Amino acid sequence: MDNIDIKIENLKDVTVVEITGDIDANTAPTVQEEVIPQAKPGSKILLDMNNVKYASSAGLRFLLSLHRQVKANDGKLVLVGLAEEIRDTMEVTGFLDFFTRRDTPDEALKALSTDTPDAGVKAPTTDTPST
Amino acid sequence: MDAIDRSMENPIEQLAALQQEVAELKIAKLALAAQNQMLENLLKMAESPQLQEILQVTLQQAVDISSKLTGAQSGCLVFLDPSGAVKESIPKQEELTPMQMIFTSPGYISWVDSHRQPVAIADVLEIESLRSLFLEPPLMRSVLSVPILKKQKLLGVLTLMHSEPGYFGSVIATFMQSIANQIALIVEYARCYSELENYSHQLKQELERGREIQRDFLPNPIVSLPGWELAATIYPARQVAGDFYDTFLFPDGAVALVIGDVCDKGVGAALFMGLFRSLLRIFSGYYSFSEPHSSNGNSKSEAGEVPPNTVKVSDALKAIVLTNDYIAQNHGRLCMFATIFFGVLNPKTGVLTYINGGHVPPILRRATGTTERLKPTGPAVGTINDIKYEIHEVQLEPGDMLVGFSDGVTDARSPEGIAFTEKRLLSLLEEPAPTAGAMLHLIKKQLRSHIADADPFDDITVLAVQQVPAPSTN
Repeated sequence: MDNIDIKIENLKDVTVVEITGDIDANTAPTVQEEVIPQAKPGSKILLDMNNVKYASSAGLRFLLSLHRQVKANDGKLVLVGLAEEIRDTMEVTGFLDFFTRRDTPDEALKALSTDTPDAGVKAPTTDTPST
Repeated sequence: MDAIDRSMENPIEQLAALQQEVAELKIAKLALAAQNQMLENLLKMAESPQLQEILQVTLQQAVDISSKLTGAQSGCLVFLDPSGAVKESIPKQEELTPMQMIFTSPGYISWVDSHRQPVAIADVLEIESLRSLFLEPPLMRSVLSVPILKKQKLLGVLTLMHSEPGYFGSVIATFMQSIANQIALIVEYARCYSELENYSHQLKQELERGREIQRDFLPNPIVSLPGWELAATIYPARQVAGDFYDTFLFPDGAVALVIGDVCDKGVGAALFMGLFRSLLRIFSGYYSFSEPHSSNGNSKSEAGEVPPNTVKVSDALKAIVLTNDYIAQNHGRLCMFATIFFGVLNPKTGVLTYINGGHVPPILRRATGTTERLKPTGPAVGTINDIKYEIHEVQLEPGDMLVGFSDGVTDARSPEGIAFTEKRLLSLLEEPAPTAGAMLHLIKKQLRSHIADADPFDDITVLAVQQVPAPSTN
């Protein structure tokens, strides 16, 4: 039931975190425990959510927690591959505005490699605009 | 090599050794069969709802099986707690005969413990100090005292009795030694089960208390307003919930309508539910206006600033901003947040002024049949310090109905795992329902048949508000 797989890889100075599985009340603690420590001072994190079909509010809580940790450590965070349902929830709750998002890992790496600090709010995005 | 050679030289010795081995195997087999039987019973009990008795029943079985296998006529068993005091006994403490009381006494227990293996007393009548007790019926003469040890620690003492002097010979003693090891194992299992059951029972009780207290955080009864009908329902997915709704009156007659959903589940969400709900009440000025001023004109500034009995709606709605900052500043480490719709309704004008903090948009069903959504005017509450929330306004007309809900409604899963969906909720709102209560009833009925016997997926909350339609003139 609570199957979740977290792959963490380092591509040069970028930490690529790939999550596979649903992030819900059962799996969120595991995700939290493994991913949050990656947000070290000045770290650049690419969070690949392509294989996450569902995130409950516990999943949003994890994202908020990661966002705060990255910000506190002057790091950068880019989300990739948000499922439509997760994107919708993030839009309603206002979470979309907290994150920089890109469609593909390549674009995300490009965004992370620029020297500008994480814009966070109002970051440009190539996602389809919401209506 | 040596041993084999020697036994080959002496067939009688070899035969005796074989007989001995067969006897030992038989004993081992019997002991194993006894253990199996106890284990099976234990598993059966573990599946039954009456787990509390599991230790007592297992101990009774150990006595029964040992008596049956050895032919003992009476048995007594004490089970000790880690400190060495008697925790349970067979028969129960209050049913012990004076004779059996000897076998539960600390002196006897430590005597058995000191032997580390079964000890037989051929005839108790030969022991002066015990004689008088054993002269009473049921006239037992021989006694076998069996220590039940686990890793050299005494778990309990089993005492078997028989009316025939010298009944318990060395074969039975050896046999009981192996049985005692099996009993030790089973009793340990039973103790673990029983502890687990106790613990889970306590936990359930605690959560049940939490549930009762949480229920007290919901308005009871819901506010009643002339010309308006308010109805609400909440089904927690677990004992305690992160969802909540609230209604309260401002002194000028305006009414607060709140529906919220704290992130995550369980006790953590429930604690924050109490906090969010109470912060909103306090920050909205609910209390500062409802109590008469205690000072008699001494504090000029206060009396001058806020005319009593009026509420500035925008001030009341600042509760969302203040709550957001409070949570983000004081509980930022936990990253707890809630999606909250907070509206202030003027029942005279029908104007609803609101902030929607990241909550799934309430549905406004117009009397004409069309629907509108009250979309978020800011993010979920408690996420980031110092965030702007827009205040929006909507005019409710007679017959219009506002339905606020948590995502537990649209996410409610059927046994096949299919979500109820927003589409289905919207189609329900197209059905004719004359009152808010009737609409709530309809939604509840549909949800119940959709969920059927599936495990609750998330807390479910609905708050419905309707301006009662003007009575028709004919």
